[in-house]
Amino acid sequence: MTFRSRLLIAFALATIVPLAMLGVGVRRQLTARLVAQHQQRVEGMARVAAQDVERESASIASRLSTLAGSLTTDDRFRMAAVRGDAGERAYLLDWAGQAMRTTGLEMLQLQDSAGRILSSGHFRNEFDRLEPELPRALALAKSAVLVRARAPEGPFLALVRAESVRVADRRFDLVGGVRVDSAFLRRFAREEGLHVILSEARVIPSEARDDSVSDNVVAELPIPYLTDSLTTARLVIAYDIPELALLRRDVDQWFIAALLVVVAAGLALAIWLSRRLSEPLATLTHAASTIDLEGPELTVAASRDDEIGTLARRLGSMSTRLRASAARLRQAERRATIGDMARQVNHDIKNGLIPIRNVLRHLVQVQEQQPQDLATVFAERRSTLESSVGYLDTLARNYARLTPSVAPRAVDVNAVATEIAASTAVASAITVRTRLAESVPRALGDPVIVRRILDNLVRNAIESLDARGGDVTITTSRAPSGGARIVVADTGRGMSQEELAHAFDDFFTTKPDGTGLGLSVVRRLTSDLNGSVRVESAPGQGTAFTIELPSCTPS
Amino acid sequence: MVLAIATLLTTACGGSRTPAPLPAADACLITASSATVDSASVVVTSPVNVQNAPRPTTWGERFVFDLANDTAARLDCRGRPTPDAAGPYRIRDVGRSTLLLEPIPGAHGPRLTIHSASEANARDLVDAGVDLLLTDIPTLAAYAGTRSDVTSLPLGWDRTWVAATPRGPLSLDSSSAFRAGLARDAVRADARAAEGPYWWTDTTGCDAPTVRSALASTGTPGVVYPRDDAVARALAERLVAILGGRATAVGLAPNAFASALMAGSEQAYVLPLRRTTRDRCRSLTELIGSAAWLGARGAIVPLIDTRLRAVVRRDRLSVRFAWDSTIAIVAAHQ
Repeated sequence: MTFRSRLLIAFALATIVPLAMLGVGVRRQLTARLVAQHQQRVEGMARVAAQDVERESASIASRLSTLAGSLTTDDRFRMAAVRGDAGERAYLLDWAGQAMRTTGLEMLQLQDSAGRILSSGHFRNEFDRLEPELPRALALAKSAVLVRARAPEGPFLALVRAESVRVADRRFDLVGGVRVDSAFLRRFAREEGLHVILSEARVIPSEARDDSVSDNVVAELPIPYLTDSLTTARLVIAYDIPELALLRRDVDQWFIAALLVVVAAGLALAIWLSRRLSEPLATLTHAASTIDLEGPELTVAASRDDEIGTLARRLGSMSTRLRASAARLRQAERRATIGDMARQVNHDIKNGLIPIRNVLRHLVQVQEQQPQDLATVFAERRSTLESSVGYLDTLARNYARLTPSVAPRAVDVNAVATEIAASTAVASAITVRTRLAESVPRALGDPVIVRRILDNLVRNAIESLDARGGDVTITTSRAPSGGARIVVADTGRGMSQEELAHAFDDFFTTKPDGTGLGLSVVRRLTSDLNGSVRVESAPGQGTAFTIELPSCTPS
Repeated sequence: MVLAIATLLTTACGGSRTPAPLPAADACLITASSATVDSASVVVTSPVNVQNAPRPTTWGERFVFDLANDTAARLDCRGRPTPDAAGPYRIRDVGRSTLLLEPIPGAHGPRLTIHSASEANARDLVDAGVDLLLTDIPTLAAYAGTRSDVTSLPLGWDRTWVAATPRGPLSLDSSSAFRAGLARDAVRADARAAEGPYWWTDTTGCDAPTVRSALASTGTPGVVYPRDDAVARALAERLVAILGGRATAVGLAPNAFASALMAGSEQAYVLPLRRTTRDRCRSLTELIGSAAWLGARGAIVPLIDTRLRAVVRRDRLSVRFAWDSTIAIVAAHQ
């Protein structure tokens, strides 16, 4: 994972998590307080509902009692139910329906002592069905009981009671009540937001809860429920607290708005910071990956005053130390090479001296034994002597070219630069400008080598200019390290990154007639003077070589 | 297909039953008034929707739509043409359950104002003075018959109420006593146990009906009936009470009932079939056409027969029995 990604994730976590915790906390606190506030209220409503159910139960009992009383004086009922008069059977069958309409009951059936339905108001044609358990079970209950009554259109729930009456010494049971449907339940929902449902299950049914408001207030009221046996159903009163929903919606909206703002700001800040941090690091990484002990110095981000600047400077310092180490290594290598070369020279000189020694011995021998032939023999062997001397002379000249001698002393770099500019003016049509600082210290080196360095760089600069000409400038100044700095800059074609990477390599050249040794010699000679060289260039932007030489005066 | 009921209520003649006792002078005449009236009021305790013309879905519609038919096609109780029959009529719907019937130009008979009334409203209309009351409610007919200027009498048994079952006969008591119990206790109409013979059981000389649709493999436990018919409802509810279990009674509007009957996906359908038919084979074809499953595994269980009652003001209208045990208005008694 990239540094930038980690930074973005860290920002997201640092902003969203606390904000989310704040939002959830606020919601929970608000919910808890409002729920607690409404809980007592809903429990009060449940108590009122319980009183309503009791009142309804009493009302049913009262109406059944009235009907039972009327049966004892109903002659047509007696004729049908007691005497079995077929002519009054229709009256009996319709009696419950008529009684139901008169009393306002919604479920009513009249049964004989065997449990046979004699008349049903809610299901007129259910007559003659046996249902002995219902009146028996109801007789045991002290209040109204919930039952599932049959009707032609399907079963329905009813809150019922039972009443017995004796007519002509025969017992008849009246079972009656009211329909428990949505209209019945709505009577208990006296306020907006209040939901009342009847549950036959043990758990609170899902329809009692509003899924969008998970903490709605719930109270329960048990009601006896007769199925196969007497169990308990529950009247569930749920209050979804409209204020809570509104409050939550407001909190959610503000939370989302705050979240969006924070995320946007956080992202912008994270992107800005990550760029500010990661881009110099990426540049530094790239620069570090291209560090070349023979190439230019690492100066990327070195001017920053933060940790990255420190890192860059330490990297540069490390690079410098590596360079010094490399220089020392090269010096040691050179010394080792000189030793080898000395042995070679010794060998070569010996090889060159051997013929001379042999000729001289021969001549001594002739002088002692045949003096009269000395002139003749000398003439014969003269060519051998001359070729041997010639060989040694050539050998000496060759070695002289290979290892220039360095004699460290104070070098006036301004004087050398002036001399180079003047000599170039004679040999070339290009004018070499100089910007020479008075404060530049004298360098520790060799004037001849410094001249060779500058001569190579100026020649290289002039050759980089195209036919339209351009400028070549030699600038001297005091280096931050205290040494002398010489910059040779041109306005020529410049170099690509690849050319820059190989600029100081031996035999590397972009010119058709170039030897590829100029900059290589510059690097080597600068190193011999314990100095440094770096180059800055871009295609079409010219090139600037910076030479820094140690000061002859210790700082 | 506005219904099998429609088909079965409109099919004509060939009556196989003898109507109630008839006056001696004209064997089919019920009342004979010498008065010539321009207009008369008629009350029927049955829904009448002129949109269903010419195929009636109730006995009230059948009575009204018959008045609009060509008189030449009408027959009396002996199967003879009735040249003195009132009409044919043009029907105008004047709203509020009231229709105005006017004889078409050249036709005879009084203008008729027909009220389709509930039992309670019918009592008010009777008290206000109605010329003819047709009802299937015995108590209403008894109340109307208490007036001294009317003749009240039952008409012939004209309809058999059946339970049509797509998946074979229901597990019901098939005894006559059971059907008599239904007629006596379950319905408030003038009813008796269904008595054969039934024309739909006799396919002699008829082409075998073609089964045009397959029946659903499983059905719902509904006992379905025409919503506006009290007799059908009472029978359906009694069947539900007897069948128990998950059975429910489901009342449907005429079009919905016709669709449900065609689908055959319910447990049973309670519907009226006319007791008489002029063309047995055509009626069979039309019956199968309204419920194709009857031609396969379906069964028709007869339950009860019902009849209407007529209460006629003797000094106002002449009426006679028609071929199908119903009633017809006479334009002017000679």
